Amino acid sequence: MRKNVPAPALAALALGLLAGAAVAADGGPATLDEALTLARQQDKVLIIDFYTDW
Amino acid sequence: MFAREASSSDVIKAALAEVVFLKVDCEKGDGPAVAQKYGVRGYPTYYAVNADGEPIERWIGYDGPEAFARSAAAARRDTRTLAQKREAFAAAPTADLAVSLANDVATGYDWAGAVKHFRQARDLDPARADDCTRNIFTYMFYGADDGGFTFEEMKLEGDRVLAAAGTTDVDRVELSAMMLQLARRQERPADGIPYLEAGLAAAAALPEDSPAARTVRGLKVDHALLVEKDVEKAIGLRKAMLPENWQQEPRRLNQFAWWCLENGVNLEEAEALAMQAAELAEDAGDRAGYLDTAAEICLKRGNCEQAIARIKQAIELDPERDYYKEQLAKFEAAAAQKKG
Repeated sequence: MRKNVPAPALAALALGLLAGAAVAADGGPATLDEALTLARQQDKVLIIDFYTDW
Repeated sequence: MFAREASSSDVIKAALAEVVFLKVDCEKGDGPAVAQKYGVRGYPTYYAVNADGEPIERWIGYDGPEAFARSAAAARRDTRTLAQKREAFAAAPTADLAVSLANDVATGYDWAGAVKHFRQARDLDPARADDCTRNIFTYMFYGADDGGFTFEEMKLEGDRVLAAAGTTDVDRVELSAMMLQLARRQERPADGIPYLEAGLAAAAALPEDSPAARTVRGLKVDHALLVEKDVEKAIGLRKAMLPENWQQEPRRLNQFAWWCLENGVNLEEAEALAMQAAELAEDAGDRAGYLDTAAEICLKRGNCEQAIARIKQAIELDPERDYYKEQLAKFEAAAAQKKG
């Protein structure tokens, strides 16, 4: 079975991996509720980065 | 890559300064539940949401600081929900809305839908043609296996990307490799050779440590195999791409064996290496996968009985996986045909 086939970089769009910074290591919100509260208080958009350490 | 660049890229820092930013590790804590709530299918995926948690933009993958900043800016510029944007587009289409909808459907792996919306964006705003074309080609590449696009359609868009002023030599190398891969997957490798040559020509201008270095090495393997017809050279170059001690790593052994299978070369050694991978594998599921590789190689070598024996071992190791049962049926049919 094919496993771990490398993808070309142009195709990294859906395949790029993130280095695993810990959640809220930079002092940002740690939970969705906290982030939504901040977004409401600051009248800002919330961007959520869904990642894994794979 | 995003985490690394977020701390060094002024473009990303500026984009993040204008939003609230939450990182969700989808394998830890409440991450899986949050990912499920939003229907996240792959990583990384980004959602821009309003204070009520409703999505206003979403996109997959990290494609560099500028692309990230563009998506973040689009979310800040138009805070209507995606549902509202869909209605707005139906009433009065704009390029911005088309791009939002393209990114939205791509997040659900609807590649044909993404291509359709990026084409609409390109028609609505020719100034964005190059960026739209790059996305059109990328999503066609993802959707190629589903048969949604012909090789000619992909060639047309690929050639437009290659001709675009903003296309770098790294892009040329990567796109050439993708075109070659498409041609081979569609069993018309000769159509990929001009791209192989073009990719290697573009690579000549790149430093050895360029981001495309690994792709260049792969193109050299393909050149040896498809153009020079020098199988031994290709095998040597392919092995040289593997890390030191690869023969002790089941995953790498399998990777090389599968490459041999795909190219129909070096099958005797490939079978032995796949079996070595199966012996070294600690996980039963992995071992089953490597046995499947060995079984496929047996079939390619005309040894249907051995293929059947190996896939039966795989089924014993991983009985829940229907794929192996389908493989068994395939091997049995091949054996029957051979006998009959």
